[in-house]
Amino acid sequence: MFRHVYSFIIMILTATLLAACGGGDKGPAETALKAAEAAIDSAKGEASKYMPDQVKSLESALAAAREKLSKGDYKAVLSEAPTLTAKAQELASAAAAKKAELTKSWEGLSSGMPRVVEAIQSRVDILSQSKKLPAGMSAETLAQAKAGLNEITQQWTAATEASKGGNLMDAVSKASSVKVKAAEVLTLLKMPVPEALKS
Amino acid sequence: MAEKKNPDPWAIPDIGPDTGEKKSESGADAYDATQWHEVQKGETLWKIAEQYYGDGNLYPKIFDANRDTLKDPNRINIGQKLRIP
Repeated sequence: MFRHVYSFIIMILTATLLAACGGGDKGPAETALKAAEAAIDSAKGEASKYMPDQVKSLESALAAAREKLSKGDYKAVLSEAPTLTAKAQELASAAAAKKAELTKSWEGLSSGMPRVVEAIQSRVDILSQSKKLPAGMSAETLAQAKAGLNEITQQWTAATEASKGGNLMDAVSKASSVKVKAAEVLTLLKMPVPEALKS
Repeated sequence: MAEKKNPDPWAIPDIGPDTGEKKSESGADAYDATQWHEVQKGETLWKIAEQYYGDGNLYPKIFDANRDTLKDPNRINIGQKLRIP
């Protein structure tokens, strides 16, 4: 009888010890995952605007780590969570750098492009008053230039609105299309294409 | 009353110092879309307007764009650089 009781106590103690060993990683795993979540949340705000794909990938990795935590795979969480935290911090730095780059691009575009558009508008206005077009320019060419100018004006308005709305990525993308179109129209009008529009 | 007269299309340009605007030609401004024309011997504003606009009657557009260096549409200098709006 005593032997049975003794064996039972040994079994209970062993089970408790095993549980304690596995569960010992639970707290640190939760803490590490919370730190990763906080780092990703913090980076997400700006990074979502400038690097949405990377944010998506990081969130998928975070969801996988959460699942591992829920399944009790604490060792895996302890191994992966610090990597996620580091990646989130790298993403925040990369997003800040991208924002600075886009801001610089937009500053150049927003100060330069209106002057290009103004030059095109001026020439189109003058040619519209001309009784005869210059050599090598047909009425069809001028009509194409006018349509191009209309498109440029609309796209530039959209780019400016995107910038005002804080969407620099979209603003620079739209302004880049304006640059391409403006170069086409300048060529149609036999005007010089500025250096900034050639790249 | 001062009457604005058409420049003589056959007038020979004065040979004088180049007083044209040059600053924007330096290429420093990557977005500068200004078109410049360097006056050649025998050219007049009327001829230049005809070359760029197809219509010499539009010469006042060029004259107005170069008021800083041109005082008289009949007097342009060989080598002078004119802004073509």
